[in-house]
Amino acid sequence: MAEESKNKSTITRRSAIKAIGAGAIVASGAMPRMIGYAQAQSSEPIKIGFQVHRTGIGAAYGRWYDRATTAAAKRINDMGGINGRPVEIVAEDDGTDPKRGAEVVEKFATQHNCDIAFGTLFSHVVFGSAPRAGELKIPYFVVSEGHHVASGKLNRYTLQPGITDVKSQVQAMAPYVGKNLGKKITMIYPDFAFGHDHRDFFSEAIEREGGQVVAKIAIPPTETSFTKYFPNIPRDTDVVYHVMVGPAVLTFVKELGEFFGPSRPEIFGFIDSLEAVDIASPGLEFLEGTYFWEGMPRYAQPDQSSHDKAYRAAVGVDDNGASTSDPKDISTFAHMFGCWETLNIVKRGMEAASYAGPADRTKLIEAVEAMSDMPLSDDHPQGAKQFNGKTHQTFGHQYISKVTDGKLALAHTTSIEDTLYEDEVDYTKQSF
Amino acid sequence: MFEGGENVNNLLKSPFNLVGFFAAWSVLGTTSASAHVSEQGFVLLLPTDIYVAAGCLAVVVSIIVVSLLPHAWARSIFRTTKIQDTGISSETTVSGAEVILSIASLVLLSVLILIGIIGTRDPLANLLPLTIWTVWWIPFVMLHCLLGNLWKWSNPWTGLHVLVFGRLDQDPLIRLPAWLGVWPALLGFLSFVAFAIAYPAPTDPAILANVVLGYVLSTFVGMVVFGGEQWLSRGECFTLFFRFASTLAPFQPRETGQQLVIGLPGWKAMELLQLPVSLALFVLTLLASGSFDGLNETFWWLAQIGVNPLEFPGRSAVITPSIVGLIGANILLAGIFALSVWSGVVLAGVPDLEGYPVSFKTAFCRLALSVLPIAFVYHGSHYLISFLVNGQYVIAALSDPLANGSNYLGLENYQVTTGFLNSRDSVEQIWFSQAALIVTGHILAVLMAHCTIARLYNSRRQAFLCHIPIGVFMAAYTWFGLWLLAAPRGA
Repeated sequence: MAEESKNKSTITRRSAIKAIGAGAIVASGAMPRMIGYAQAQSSEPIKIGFQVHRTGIGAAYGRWYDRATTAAAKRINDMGGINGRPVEIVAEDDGTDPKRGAEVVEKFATQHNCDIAFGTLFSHVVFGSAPRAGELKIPYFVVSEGHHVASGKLNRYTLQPGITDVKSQVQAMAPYVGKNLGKKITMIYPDFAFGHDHRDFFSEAIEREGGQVVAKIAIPPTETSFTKYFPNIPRDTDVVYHVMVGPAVLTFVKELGEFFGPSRPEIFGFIDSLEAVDIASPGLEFLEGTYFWEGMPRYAQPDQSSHDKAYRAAVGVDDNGASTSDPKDISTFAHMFGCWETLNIVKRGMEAASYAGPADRTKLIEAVEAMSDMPLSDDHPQGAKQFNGKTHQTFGHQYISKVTDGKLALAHTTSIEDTLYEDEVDYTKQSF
Repeated sequence: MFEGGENVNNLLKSPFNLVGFFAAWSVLGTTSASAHVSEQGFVLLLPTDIYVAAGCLAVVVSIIVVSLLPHAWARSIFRTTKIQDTGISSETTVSGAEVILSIASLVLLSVLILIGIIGTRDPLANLLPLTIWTVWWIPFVMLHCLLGNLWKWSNPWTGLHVLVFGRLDQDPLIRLPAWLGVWPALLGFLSFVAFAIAYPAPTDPAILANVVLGYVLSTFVGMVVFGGEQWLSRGECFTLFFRFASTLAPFQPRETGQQLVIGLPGWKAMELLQLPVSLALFVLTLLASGSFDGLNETFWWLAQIGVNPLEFPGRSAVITPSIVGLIGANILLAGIFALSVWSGVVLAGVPDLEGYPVSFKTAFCRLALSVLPIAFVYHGSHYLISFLVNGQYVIAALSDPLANGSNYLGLENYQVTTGFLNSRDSVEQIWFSQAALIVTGHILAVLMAHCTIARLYNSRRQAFLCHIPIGVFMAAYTWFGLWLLAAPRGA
């Protein structure tokens, strides 16, 4: 009885999508898939605990992570599921709260009988949750882009195979910036860990390119007006590197534009500042001609791959990176692909490990650790990747786009080599 | 093996140890993708300083204009006009229709609680949290301010109670002592607000189901023990809450006189003459709690409690400061309001020959009602965006109430959007709507306060003097409300 009610409690909209998908497969009449469906009918679903920022400061990201995850799960189920079993997404809100994050991971492991936990974005929630995942021995696939996984501070059960980390992203910017935009850089960043990471990773990388950070301007996190800081930008600055976040970022951009007027240095920033914001918004005209890092180009490019096209169609995103149901609803395009790709990696890992249930969790981790090259494909629409099984971190191409006519036009794609750095940990040496 | 992780975990066990947490976080070399720039970014681009000043000016002008009104006019601002006779004698009478609706409400609530327990864990797909937080706590409250007391018809208790006892005002097992006033309801309301703004997971379907179930049952127990009508009026906070909300409806029945009447919003509150102190404090609690609900998200508040607004550590880490802040806001507001009233009474001085002495207590209790419009416009304004976004999830959940893939409403490719928060024009429209609501509420409060004072004092000069500190209070509160709308938020 208790078991019955537990099963009932985990019926979700997504599991229904799964059923519809399975039905479609039967209708198609393809033999191998029919076998898969027949197995699925007699098998329990693979339960993926989706730790989602439904409320709290991560909610805007959470909504799009949910859409990408739902779309990825539907596609996997449409293709016959994993090892003949349908995938069921069990979503739990963590409130973008580390303590709740740990509780949610525990629920996945002990209440919902999930096979894995997945999907966390905000780093502090990853930090709060990963130790619990390690204790409960449940694989924890994060989509956070933090350097925490590769830094060696987490554990063998925590992996980040579907999105690159900030250290590799930042250092990969240096060759392009140094060669094309200028050697003398002024960095403007919020004065806390997020900004400090950018400062440290980029300073080191640009020096390797023969460049130099001529000024480091740290802005107090509570600041909402920035003009008073701009006179500190040295006159001989070639490039202003900014990575402001929070509600005052539009004010920052506007005031920077007003400060420089028409004769400005090159400007380079991270799209994190303006993720889900329309670049063509009034007040952001100053961004025209400036450069941004993008995790995945928001606007469909002239040489758009079929994979990018298929991914957008599945998630419901148009060529401008907005929802197909509302052109003003800009997605978190530079990040959410991580959910899509991670689920596909989980699928491949489970298939390689012949995963049958929680007893095979360590086999799943070993199977993912054994992965290396992941080619550009429908599974990996963001681009090819190179997974490092030792550090549990994936590496991949980064994109630099230039704001052109109010849109982001791809200016440069980094090599994967540009993103690599020395291993800081070997998780495979840790016991389970 | 799990060295770093254990450190973090230990720190998390002590939720208030923010310094330690951030130290560990920093050492671990974290980076954080912060919340995306939404409507707040555009709000910060608006010339809100000018708008705030204009809003305050409008309220100050209203104070001056109302002070210049002839005394008799001031007293009759909230005069009502009879629409028709109703034949219904008292609000405490429970009609058959009310019993049926109340039973239906109880059945509906039971179904929702069940959905909370066995339905999807996603709070934005589960109908229990969506109904409670997005429907009941936002538009349902605001409808009371327009249409009158809907809760009287739809609360889950009166129907079953009348079915069991035959009446609502049965003899109690224990009589609530008079000195207790409405303190049980006041403390109940504060607990509810604390749950909403300080508890880490008020939207979690299972947790909410337990809380709602516990509250529904304990209220039944209270009604049986202390008497149905007595407990609903003095111990059950939402009956009081919705009664006060409905006093702002312009068109509704008068409790005595069997009439349906129309008047300026607030006329019904102006007819409440005998108000115990605890009831006056309950009204102030509505305002203070609503105000703190907005304040606790601002950069300013987060700076006070030592939290970096760009990396909010989650509700679990700020439970204690949130509760302390909530209680502090209530004490502070009651104190400031009392000081304003006391100053007014002192300024007005000894009444003239025609007058009679006005005690501080009388003035405090009667004037407390004048903050009702402010409290409810805050409510509407504060939750507007939340309603606009989560209301879309309600539609999706109604189409698929058990989250099993049903599509009863035939929605095609339905996706929730926050696109209206991504454009300056729509953000500006939303901001103006909120600001207009705030300013209108304050002007109404000014009218209520002045009418109350005009009724307390026969001398126009004394009424004018008494109104000065209250007017200052209301103008300052207008500034505070508009500042809250314009302030950057980080939680």
